[in-house]
Amino acid sequence: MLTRRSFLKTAAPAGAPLIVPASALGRNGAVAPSDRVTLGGIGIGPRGANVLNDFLEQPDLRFLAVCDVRNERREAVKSLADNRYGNRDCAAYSDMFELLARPDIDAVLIATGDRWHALASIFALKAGKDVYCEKPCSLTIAESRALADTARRYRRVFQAGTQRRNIANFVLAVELARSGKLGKLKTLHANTLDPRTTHDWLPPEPAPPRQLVDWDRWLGPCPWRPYNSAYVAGRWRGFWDLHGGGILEWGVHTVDLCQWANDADRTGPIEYTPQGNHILCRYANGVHLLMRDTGWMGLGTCSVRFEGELGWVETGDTGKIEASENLRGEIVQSREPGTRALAHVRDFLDCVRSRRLPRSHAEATARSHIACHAAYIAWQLGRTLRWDPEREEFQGDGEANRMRSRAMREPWRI
Amino acid sequence: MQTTRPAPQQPPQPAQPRLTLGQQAARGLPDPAQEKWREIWNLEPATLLVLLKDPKASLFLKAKICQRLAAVGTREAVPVLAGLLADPLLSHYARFALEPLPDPAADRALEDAAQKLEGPLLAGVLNSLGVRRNAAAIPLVARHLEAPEPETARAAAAALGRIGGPQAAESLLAVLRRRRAEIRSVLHDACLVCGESLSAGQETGLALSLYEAVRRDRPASGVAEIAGARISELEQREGFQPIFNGRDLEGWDGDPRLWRVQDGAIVGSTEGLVLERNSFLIHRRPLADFHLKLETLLRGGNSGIQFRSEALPGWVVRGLQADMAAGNHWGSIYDEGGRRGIVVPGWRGKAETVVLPEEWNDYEILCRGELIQLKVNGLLTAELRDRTRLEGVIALQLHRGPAMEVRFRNLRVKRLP
Repeated sequence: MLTRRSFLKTAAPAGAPLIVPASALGRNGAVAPSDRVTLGGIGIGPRGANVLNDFLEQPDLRFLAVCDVRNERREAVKSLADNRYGNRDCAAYSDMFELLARPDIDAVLIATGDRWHALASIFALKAGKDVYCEKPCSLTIAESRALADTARRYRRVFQAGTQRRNIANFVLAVELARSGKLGKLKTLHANTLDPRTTHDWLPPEPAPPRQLVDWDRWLGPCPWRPYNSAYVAGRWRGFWDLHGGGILEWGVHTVDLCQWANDADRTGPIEYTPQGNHILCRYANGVHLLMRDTGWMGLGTCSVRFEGELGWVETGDTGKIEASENLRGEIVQSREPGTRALAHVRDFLDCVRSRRLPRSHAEATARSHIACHAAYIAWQLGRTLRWDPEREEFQGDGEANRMRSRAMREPWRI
Repeated sequence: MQTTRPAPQQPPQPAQPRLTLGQQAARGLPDPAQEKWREIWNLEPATLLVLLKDPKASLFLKAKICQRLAAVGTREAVPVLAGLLADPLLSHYARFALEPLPDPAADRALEDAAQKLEGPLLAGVLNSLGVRRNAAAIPLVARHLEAPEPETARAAAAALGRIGGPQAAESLLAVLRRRRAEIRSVLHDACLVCGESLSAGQETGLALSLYEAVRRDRPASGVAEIAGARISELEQREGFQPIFNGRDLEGWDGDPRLWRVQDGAIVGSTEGLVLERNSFLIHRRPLADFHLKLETLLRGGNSGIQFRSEALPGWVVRGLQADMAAGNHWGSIYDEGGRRGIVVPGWRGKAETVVLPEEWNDYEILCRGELIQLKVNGLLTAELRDRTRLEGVIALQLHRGPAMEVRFRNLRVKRLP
């Protein structure tokens, strides 16, 4: 019988173990300082703090520095680390380049707002750091391509914060698809959200002093807009300039799992057809991918459903799995929430040591992000788009191709 | 929140809202912003331009029109957008529209701005020229490599890397030789990027020059290894093969008191000995047409690399030499054991500008028919047409005179057809 563990042993793309390698541990299980992976954090907010706590659980990790353009968050993360280690050693920066210039830092956790993810990751990779970056990792197709190319060029380990690739129920569902238990695949379903965003600017407010909030740096590569405290307090989602919309928001998890299930980590769908808020996509191998925000069985947020000629499976963030009658014997129910990053963090650290590809490596991440961006472009244009996954361009649609990238505000560039 | 996209089945916009929008802008009324975006999305590019040119249009309206023009703007939009490139708040919005605009007029507008603007706005324009991979802009962009403001020079370097091609590569190589500290890491990155497109386009030789230049420039940790890996990969593809195995002197012949292998390098040293005449470590396989590359580190004295030479008894060699000496002669062609002395000088104004004293330097010898070329650290220092001897051995020199030491490593040869 298939279990999660046997799957991890046989089908892990990089064969990465999920336990701490013995070589990382000194005697009595304590890790020698020279054997520790050293980590810095950039833009650690609520989600970042969750992931950071999972990092701090790891015996072979040492967190050395934090960077934030907001004084308040900088200090909060420094306190978190200092309390944990019982010292005052955690360095705090407001300029990420100072953190990235430190040769004693091996890896960085990037958990800024979405607008900074690709750029900060690229800077870190160029500075020789391995990167764990929260999702979504880009706002455009061009950013995703540049990010994957940079990780390859600089031969760094990159893990996107799409932790469901290391959560038991999702891995099991993917395994059923990849192992042929579902038969020839027909339709993959990805739970996405309402695609809408807004182009509004919130009413202008006086910007605070730079040492408290560096608004210019907060905006980074995004178009200038007047300051409003709501953005900085975390309510930047839904603004087109700052956020990729509801397809990307969940699709980077769910479309990503469909890509994996369809063995499409280095390609993507070739056609996108908007149907209201749903997007129907088609792969070259005939498999369909339906991005939809309704009609789920209630197994939790970020659900996926894989349908083949012999059966189907559906699962979500509750950990519960439903499957067709013939597959009930294959199912192991789980209670692990889909948001938990612990195993994903461990996978990353193991790969930092082994130099192998982690589950959510840069190219797979780029391809699933690009599928979400392409779907959102099709939705915005309200027409079917054909996509060439080799050349990474839309076929015969100049307007769509012009939406693959956005000019960055000076002086930023990818 | 409102949709960024009208429902597909939404009827065509009546003519009136266009007027309303213009009137609103003219009166400076507060914008019901999202409604405006829905209208903007449905307006013809020509109408968008009328609104964009309206001096009373709000900043918000102009910004949003530029963002829509990114997808639908035409040649007619270019002059209006060009007029915004010098505006600190709207320059980026203008580039937002110009950067993806297919018409070559957008290139001309950005080139024009690159000659007028300065500071961050100039950096932005250079970035956009890079994104557009506008090869016609290479000379203009390359001029900005010399800009006193590091941010401008960095933007120029990144743009050249992205545009790619032989001309961009030559500009990057030239500026690397000047070793300007504050732009080095961006230059290294630009060379890696440019090297990828060159090698994909079969310009392997130039790609190799870029990677070698990066490796030589002592880049940040990890980057030298990346360049090295690319070099091995491309050289293998090109047909280069090692002529020194890194462990012992198999295939070589020299005075055992003078030559040894240490740390993967051939070490020649006259320590404790007084040489009465020059002595050579000889690679016994004669070569006719070939491309030789190696790294060498000279500590004092005079050394060189013989090629197409004649081996005589007693580790003596006669023929042409790629010369090097502490403080001079690097990059020159010298007639060892002959009457011509220095045949082609390569030091003054050439090798002297690129040699790193007492450090590892790259030396290259290319012989094809009567053509002979020497390169030091990627710079062509001597070129000669000579038919005296078209085939012969390669040999490494220790010079008589004061005690000296020379090291060679990573010797590899490609036989030319």
